[in-house]
Amino acid sequence: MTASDAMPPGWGTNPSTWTQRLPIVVAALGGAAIAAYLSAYQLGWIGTIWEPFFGDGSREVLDSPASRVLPVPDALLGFAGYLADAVTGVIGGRSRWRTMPWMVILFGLAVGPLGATSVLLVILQPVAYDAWCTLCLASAVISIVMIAPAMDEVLASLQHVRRERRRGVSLARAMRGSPP
Amino acid sequence: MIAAVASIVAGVVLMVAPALLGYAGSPASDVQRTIGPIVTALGIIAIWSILRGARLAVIAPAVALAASPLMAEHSVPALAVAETIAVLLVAFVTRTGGGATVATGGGWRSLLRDDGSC
Repeated sequence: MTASDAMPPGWGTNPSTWTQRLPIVVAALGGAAIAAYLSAYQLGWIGTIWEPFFGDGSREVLDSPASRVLPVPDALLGFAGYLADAVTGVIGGRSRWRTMPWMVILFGLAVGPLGATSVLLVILQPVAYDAWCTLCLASAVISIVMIAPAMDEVLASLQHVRRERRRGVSLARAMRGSPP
Repeated sequence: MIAAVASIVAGVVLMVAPALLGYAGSPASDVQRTIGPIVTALGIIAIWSILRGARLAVIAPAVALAASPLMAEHSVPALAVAETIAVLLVAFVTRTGGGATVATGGGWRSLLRDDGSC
């Protein structure tokens, strides 16, 4: 398959190339590493947390009631979210916008809500606890930075599904993708 | 790009101003610390041309910011400085830039059109 075959119609670049996707996957793994460290503190596996700027801010945020609302610590959920981003980011080849639209859309669904949740947590830190957490902020920035680069591939897949639907292909089959 | 950076700056100004200017803990600081992360996030997202339109979404938090004196007490003069900077930056953001710089098959609007363009 040539590079132009893998390019979505009307596009100037192929959003599914590894050069487009790998930075997102690397960012997700970075976010996962931070979330794993924060989870280790929340689970009591480590006794201290690195905080260069905000004094006891990280402790206050990570030990807050809001972080324990769910049965598992919120950082652990973040870790799972980042891992889902990384896994859905690496599966499929450079034509996956066409061959695996369901996976690309799943990737978009994994990236988007994680960013939105991060923004909510950044709001909660100072408003509810008058404290900031450096690594939580870093994690939030990573999750937000991943959103836009992931969305171009999602757009290409949605356009593909729409084209297939117009050709009379069922939604389920269009989502499964075209053969390579 | 300039618009996105201006949005990020506006959001960060709102987030740090309560601590730097000495009104942290006031109701107005809560308003700013709620709107600041939203404006910053929209600015970061709008850096990429595929979601350039996100810069226009800062209008909603800017309106909330402008209306915040009606919702929360603004007794500290420094508040006016922070909020004026933020609102001016947001106003700049909504008037600058726009349009995708890379061909994307008609963009998000193509999903709504019924002309067979995608």
